[in-house]
Amino acid sequence: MRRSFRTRATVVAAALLSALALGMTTASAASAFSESYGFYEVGNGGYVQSAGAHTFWLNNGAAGTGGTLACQLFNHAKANNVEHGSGACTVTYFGGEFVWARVYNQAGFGQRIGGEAET
Amino acid sequence: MRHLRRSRLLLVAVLVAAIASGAAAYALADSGQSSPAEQLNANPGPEPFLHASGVTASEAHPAFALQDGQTVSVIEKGSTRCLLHGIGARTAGRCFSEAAITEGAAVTVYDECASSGRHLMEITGLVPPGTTAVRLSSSDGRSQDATVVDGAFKFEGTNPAAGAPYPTAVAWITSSGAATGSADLPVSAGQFCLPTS
Repeated sequence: MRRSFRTRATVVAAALLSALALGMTTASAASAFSESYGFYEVGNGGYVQSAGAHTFWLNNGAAGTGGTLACQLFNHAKANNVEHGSGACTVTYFGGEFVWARVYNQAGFGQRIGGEAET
Repeated sequence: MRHLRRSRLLLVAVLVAAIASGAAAYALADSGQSSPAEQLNANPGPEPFLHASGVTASEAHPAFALQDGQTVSVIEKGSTRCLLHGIGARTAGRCFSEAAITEGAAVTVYDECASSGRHLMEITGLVPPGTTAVRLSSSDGRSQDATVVDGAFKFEGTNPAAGAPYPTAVAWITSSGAATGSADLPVSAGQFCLPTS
C-alpha cells in the first residue's frame, strides 16, 4: 500500500514536471520571431536591412547619435510603410505579407544605426 | 526492488533532461534581450522603447483612431509620456520626456507608400503641457490646425506627390491662440516615400 502510494506520487510528480518542461519548450517555439540587424556606421541617406523577408508587423529603428531616421517595412508588391522619427522610429505593417525591414539614416551625418523587426 | 530503483533513476534522468532542454529553449527564445537594438536602447524585452521607460503597452489608454484603422494610445507616467500605434492587441510606440516633447521629438510622420495602397499619410505626436491645438505648416505657406486629445494630435492626408507642397513643421498653440514653440517634421522634401529596391 505504501509502495503503491509512493509510485503514484512519483508518477504524478513526473507528469507535472514533464508538462512543465513541455510547456516551456512549446512556449518558446511559439514565441514571435525577431531579427536584429545593422548596428554599424552608415552615411547620410544610407540604410541597414534585415537579412530576409518575414511576416514582420513591427520594425524598430534606433540611431547611435540622434537625428532623423526612417523605418520601413516593404516588399515588391503591396507593402511599403514608412515612419519618420527623431532618434528612433517604429513602423508597423498589418498586411500579414512577407516584408523586409529597413532603417534609413537621414540625420544629415554618418552614424551607427540598427533595427529590430518582429513577426 | 532493484528494478524499481533503476526505473526511478531513469525516470529522474529523463525528467532532468526534459527540464534542461525546456529551459534551454526558453533561454534561446529570450536571447533577443541581448540584441544590439536593446543594448543601444539600454532595455530588454519585446517592447524596447516602452520598457526603456519602465512602462508596458497594457498601461495605454486610447486617444483616437486613424483612417487606416490604427489606434493611437498614450501613456502618462510621471514626467514621461508615450505615444503608441497599433491594431487590436498589437501596439508599439516610444516614450519621451517633457523636454523632448517640447522639442518635437515625439512627432512622427507615417507614410503608406505602396503603389496598390491609398497613399495615406498620418502625422501624429505628443504636445507640451498647455497646448490645446497644433498648427501644421506646409511648404507653400499654408497651415491647418488640429485639436489636442489626451495630449496627442493627428493630421491625416495623403503623401505629397513629387513637386507638390509638403508639410514642414508643427507649432504648439495655446487656448489664447498664441504659439509657444515649434518643431520641424522629421522628414524633408523627397523623403516622404522611400524606394523598395
